[in-house]
Amino acid sequence: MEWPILPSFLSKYVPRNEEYTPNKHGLFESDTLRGFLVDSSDDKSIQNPLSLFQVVPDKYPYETESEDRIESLDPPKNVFLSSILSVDRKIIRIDPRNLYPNMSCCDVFRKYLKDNDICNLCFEQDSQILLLFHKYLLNINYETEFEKFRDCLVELCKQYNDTIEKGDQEYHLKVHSDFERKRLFIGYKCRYSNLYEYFFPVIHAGRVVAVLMQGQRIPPQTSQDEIFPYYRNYSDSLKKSIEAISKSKYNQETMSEERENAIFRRISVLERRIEQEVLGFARMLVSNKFNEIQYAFRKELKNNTNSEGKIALEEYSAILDRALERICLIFNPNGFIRIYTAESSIETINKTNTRFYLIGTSEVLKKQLVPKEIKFLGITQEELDLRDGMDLARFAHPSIQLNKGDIFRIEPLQVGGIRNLIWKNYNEESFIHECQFKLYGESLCSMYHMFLEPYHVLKSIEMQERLEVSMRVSVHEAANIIPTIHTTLSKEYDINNSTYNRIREGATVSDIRSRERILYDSIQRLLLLDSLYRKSTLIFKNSLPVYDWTDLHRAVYSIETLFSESALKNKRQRIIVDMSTYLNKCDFWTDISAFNHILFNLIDNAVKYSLRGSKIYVTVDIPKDQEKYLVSSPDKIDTLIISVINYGFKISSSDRDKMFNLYYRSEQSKSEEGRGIGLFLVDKLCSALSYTIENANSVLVSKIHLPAKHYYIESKPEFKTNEKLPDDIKRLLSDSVSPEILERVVNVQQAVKWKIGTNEISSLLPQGTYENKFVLTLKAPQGQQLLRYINK
Amino acid sequence: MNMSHRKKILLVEDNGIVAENLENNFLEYDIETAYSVNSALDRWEEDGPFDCIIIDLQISPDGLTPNENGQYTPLFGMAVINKLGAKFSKEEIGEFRKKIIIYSGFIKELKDHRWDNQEIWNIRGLCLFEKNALSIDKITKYVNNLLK
Repeated sequence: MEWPILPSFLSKYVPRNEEYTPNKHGLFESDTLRGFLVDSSDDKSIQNPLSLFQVVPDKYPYETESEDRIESLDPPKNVFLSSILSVDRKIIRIDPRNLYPNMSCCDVFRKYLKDNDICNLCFEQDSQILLLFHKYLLNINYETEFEKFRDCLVELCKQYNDTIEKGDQEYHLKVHSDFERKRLFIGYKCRYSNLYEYFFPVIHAGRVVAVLMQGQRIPPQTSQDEIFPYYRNYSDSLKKSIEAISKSKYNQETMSEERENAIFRRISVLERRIEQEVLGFARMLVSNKFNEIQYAFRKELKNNTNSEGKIALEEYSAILDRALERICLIFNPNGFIRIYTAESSIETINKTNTRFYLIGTSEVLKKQLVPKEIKFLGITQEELDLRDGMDLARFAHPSIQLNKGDIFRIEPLQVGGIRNLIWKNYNEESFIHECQFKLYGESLCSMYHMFLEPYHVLKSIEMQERLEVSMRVSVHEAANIIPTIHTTLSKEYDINNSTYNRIREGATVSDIRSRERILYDSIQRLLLLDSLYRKSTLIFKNSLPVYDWTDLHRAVYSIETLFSESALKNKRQRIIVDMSTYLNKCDFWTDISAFNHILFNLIDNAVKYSLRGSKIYVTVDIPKDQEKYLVSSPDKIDTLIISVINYGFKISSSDRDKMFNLYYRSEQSKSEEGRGIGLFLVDKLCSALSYTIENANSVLVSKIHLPAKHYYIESKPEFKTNEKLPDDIKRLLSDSVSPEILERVVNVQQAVKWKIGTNEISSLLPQGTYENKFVLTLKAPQGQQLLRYINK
Repeated sequence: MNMSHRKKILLVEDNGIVAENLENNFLEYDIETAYSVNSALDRWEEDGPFDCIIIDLQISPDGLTPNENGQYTPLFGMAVINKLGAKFSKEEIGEFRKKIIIYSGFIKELKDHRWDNQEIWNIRGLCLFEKNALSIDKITKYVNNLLK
């Protein structure tokens, strides 16, 4: 069955060995149409025989298989009309026959023609309905371009009238139209009978599918002698039938307003029946095809599922693409369907920045041209659901250009509130066959659940596995810290005799300070544990920023303190905070929990990926043009810039593009413990607070590992005589480095020991030193002050 | 020639705080620390042999080839054990392995043979300690007994 359902005629005929389709084989049995004609002819406001004409394929033998209920017209002799018909089509006519007979004179006239082997002149007149099937009119939508349709028809009638012999103007066709009701009909006088006839188009989907003819009305002031004036002289039976016409038929309007309205009403009824029938077929087709597609989709999924019951996301995506392509090929060949989805459990943490990822598109061959990711900026998730089309697209990045027929909206799934973004395009036919495309659209919407179900199950399994890994790493990290806290506290606070003695003897100030230090140290480690726990669970939480005034100095230094000891002891690194005296005295307006996480992750990241033995800088600044406000009017400062600068390996531009993605880990970073969550969280939290986070391009500081060089030479100044050391390493060690750069990069504290051997220096030294910088820009929410002085 | 009578321990641990805690428990021994595969091999070459090796498995892979890196992920400490083990003959290897104490959060996985290649993940003869709040004390007692 073809889509959309668009029959060009009504009478049903299905040749043997052909599968029925309304577009090729019509809609109704001829008796159904005949019933309609009888009923309509008998309408008390019509009371006139009506007949129905259709243009059908010439090869369909209706007339032989319908026991005279349908008759085919002979091809018209008029060249203008025959050119419209073309050789492979013919006109068929259905009328009520004896159920509502014609005026008998017309039937007698036809019999006379037949008996005398004269061609059917009535058919020649009836063939004028072909004007409504002219190719010019085929391209004009009757419903939406009625005026144009009517003007074109008038012009066609004029051209046709010109083909009728001169002097025959009284037989010309005339178009009657009603713009308000968008209705028209054509009237003419039969050149043989001098009776009036009218034909009305029956419309479906803006096109003429049949023509209803109201026949044989005697024009006013017409005498008996003027009816069949020529042929009545040759046929007594014709003459008698004319004389038998009831006097009541004379001197009446050929088309009263009442009859015209009644015929229009009847045509409307027929058109509604056609529409219902077409929608019935459309519903069946949509249902059948979607069932087939659904079955094929599930079968493909099953065939590609591995022994563990899983399927690769790429494979799932390819199967979805094929299903969507199939749908478009059947229902919407020039359109497309694109399905994006957000990972709700992760994305909901951020209310104003929502990313959607492409998981399926019907454009299989052009998939690379479809945006892989659409990010909405400056719109809350609740607002996302309320907007669509351009109203929604203007929040999208990359900027989305919508075209006519594009549908762009969020479709939340019922369970779990998972949001999906649907971007589809309907071709132009959808506007003509709106009801049918509505059925298609509704069925498509009901398929999204089925399509997305495996995706969300797969993502859920993946999340579960990653969560397990996250928990494992967290447990491992925690396992590193817990023993130290336990040992420290149990040693210091183990109640034994010496403790009692100390209590009895009284503690010195130095004892108390020493204990305070131990307590403080333990508290810091407990905080670190708490942060590790939060880091592994935060991505699954749904939270809104809670702002308050916070001491800037404490906020920055507390995170620095958290890392300073571990950075030094683990990697011989030193963290240096650089903040002006004035900023040290300021409160800033922030969500301290979110800020702590941001700075925690940035410094954690810096410690992990900095060179062993290097320095890490945390600078807190304001824009140059606002420095003048620092002393007296901090309320006028609207921006705070926190940079975390470290010295490590080069970050490639492709890593830079992906570093804020969840679970992304560059090849270089894989040697460090981590889950690819930290920077993702930083990005999410920054968006939630309307902060920005940027990673500057890596800057080459030295082609060698500066701290390794410094520490190696310091412990082995006689390296030039070391026979095991390769010559190229010796050369690199001999190269001079400016003291300023060394001072800037290397943590040269005396207390820091790092014993480097031959293997280690040979492997480390050729690795260059690059400066990497994350810049966090803080802004206060609109109308809110960012900084204020506090009394410390 | 090393004239010291003090026993020697090689501590392979990339977490400096944990390493410091362990060091403080072994003040009567000479301790050398390493944080990566390469630094552990260097310490063995420059300061070895050792009477005991305490090794965390999740250390820096620095010194491994990309192929080795893939094989030993995520427990690069096993590479140190295997590379040092390769320096010993078949007769000596058993004694060498008795000196090794693994100190890790992945003991259960190792015992359950989570990873397939048993040549790489061979734990026969090694002493295994799960990292937890009490394990530093347990290791201290074990090492003191071992080096008595």
